[in-house]
Amino acid sequence: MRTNSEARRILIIDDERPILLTLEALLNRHGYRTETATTATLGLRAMKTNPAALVLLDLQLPDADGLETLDQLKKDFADSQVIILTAHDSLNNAIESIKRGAFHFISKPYAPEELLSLAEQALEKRSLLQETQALREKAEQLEKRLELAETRLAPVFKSKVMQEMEELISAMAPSDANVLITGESGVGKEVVANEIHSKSRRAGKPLVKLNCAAFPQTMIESELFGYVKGAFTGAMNDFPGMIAEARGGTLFLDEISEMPADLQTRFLRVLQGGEYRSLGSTRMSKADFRVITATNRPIAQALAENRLRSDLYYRINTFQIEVPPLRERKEDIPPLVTTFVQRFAAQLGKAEPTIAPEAFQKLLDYSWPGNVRELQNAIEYAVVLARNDIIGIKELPAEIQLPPALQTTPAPARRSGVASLNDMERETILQALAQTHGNKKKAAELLGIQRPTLYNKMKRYAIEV
Amino acid sequence: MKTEVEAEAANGNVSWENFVKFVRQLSHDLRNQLNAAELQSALIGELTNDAEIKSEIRRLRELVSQLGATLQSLSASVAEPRPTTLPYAAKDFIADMQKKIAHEFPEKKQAVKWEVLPAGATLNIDPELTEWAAAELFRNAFRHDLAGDEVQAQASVEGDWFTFSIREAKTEEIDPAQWTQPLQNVSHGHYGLGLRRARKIIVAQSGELTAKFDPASRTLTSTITLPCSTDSP
Repeated sequence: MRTNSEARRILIIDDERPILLTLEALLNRHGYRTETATTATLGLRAMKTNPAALVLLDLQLPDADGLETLDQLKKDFADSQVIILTAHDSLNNAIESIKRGAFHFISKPYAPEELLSLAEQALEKRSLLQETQALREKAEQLEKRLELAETRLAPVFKSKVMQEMEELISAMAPSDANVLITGESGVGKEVVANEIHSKSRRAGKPLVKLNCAAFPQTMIESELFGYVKGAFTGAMNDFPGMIAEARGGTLFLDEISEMPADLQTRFLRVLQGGEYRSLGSTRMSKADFRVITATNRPIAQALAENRLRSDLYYRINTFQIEVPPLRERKEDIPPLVTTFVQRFAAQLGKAEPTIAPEAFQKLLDYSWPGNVRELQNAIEYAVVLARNDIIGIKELPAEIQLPPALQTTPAPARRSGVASLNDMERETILQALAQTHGNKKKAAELLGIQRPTLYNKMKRYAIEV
Repeated sequence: MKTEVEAEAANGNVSWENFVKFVRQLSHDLRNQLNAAELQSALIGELTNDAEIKSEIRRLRELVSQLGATLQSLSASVAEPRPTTLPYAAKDFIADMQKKIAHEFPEKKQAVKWEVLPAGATLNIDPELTEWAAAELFRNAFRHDLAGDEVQAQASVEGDWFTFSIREAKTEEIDPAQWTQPLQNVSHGHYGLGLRRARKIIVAQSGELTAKFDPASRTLTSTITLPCSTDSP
């Protein structure tokens, strides 16, 4: 049974005692909980004490007009359904009852089977209305969260390098020029793509995103170009594809170097000819989109390894934007932290916590190998743990609490592609200390050396914990 | 203390309003009691496993249901009709009528001779109530003193008026002035209230229901006249 016992409570308001008693017995036998009242006053009082899900209301009551009682019920207990039962029927009464919000109108004598069926329908309607209301509230919450998310996605242009990028975006966004965005993972390449689209002439049209690394290579083609029913096993319906979806707008292809080479060639043809054919289709379709691509691989490496075809690269690289890692633009950390704190506090329904100065210093000192994405996760973690509206060092993730020397740092650029033995040893010691949160005894065990040896090596490599 | 109805009845003079009040209240009370009986029967039917009792209860409930329907129809026949009007093509109204009569009196299908003049008029009527009123003329014709088998039905439009009349030969003389008065012909299952209600329905739509008796041919012609427009709906 879908409904619980409270949702199956019925109040019968009728001055005819024989009807009340028998109807009550019948409804109880069919699993409903019932309450009875012989007057409108008693009925309304019963509703105030414990509102019933459904009211069976006689139109002719000794102390009130049934339609007025119906008005009162609908005003005070809008959630409850009302079925009118009357021996004083007329078409006008029936129409008036429905107009005033009754679920149904039944003339006496009625077949109990009809009443039971209507009662079930009325309760079902009530339950659906409640579900709809709950979904509406959920949708409103999601809309609010989406608004917050969109706020979060606005890039921060505080540092000089980001200010220069903002100028470049403002200058080239209105054109239809293709853009290639590069940068480490988590720097905010997608956020930059959003910014370009929102400042472009195509802003009112869709921005369609495809992460080439998130799809099996065999699926990228069908996602991008679409297919017609029967094009391959499992193609049960036509699917227009993302190029069609992006018509008039922008197509953002993330991790472009993960796109299979033959598909890169096919996509290049679309960019050159402005036409494409869906899988299994004999018809060419017009393509109308601006393309923004992104990759976290160094371009030279991607080209050298043939992960990115050079002919496609030249086509998509009209403008190249390199989003610098967060460690190289620490001026952006404070405004990003403020944005994230506001966002997560609102999401959690908490007061906005203050960040203690020493915790803030930790955030500035940290190297952020995971870039803005890592900063965002760290702030979410801290806001969840914040006590008394303060984020101290203890509320930060353990990695950030570590002394700088023990933190995971991005691998240094190697001078000739080969690391020296000393560099490798230093790096290994740092990793062991990081894994053991600075515990030298455990780090020495992990490295398979004596603790004094570890101390000596730390001294030699100027490692301080 | 005597009620208003009793007081008037004691004078041998019950007003129509009081008669209606009496009928409606009696119908209301009886229907409430029938409802209790119906519910009680259904409950006993659920409680027993005896097939014979179940079968008898089913019959009892059918009887209660029939009685309820009779009382409901009696209440409706004394109630003041409140039509909800809408533009309705005259030819559609006649087509609906032909279907209704064929359905309601299948054995009299051949007896009704239709003479419908083509017209593009539009009525402003409550189609359901107006159909009921027009069908009442047929019910009355077939029920009372019909001489011969034939009833002639005619529909036409003259100027801004739509006319629907039926002509029937009668075995007895009819007084047109008394024709729609209530309680003229009371018989088994019939309470002499239909023509009055039919007239009320037509009058409520700015029309007229009249009757004319030709003593020479002993023919009664009853006519519904309703305003119409000749523009397309």
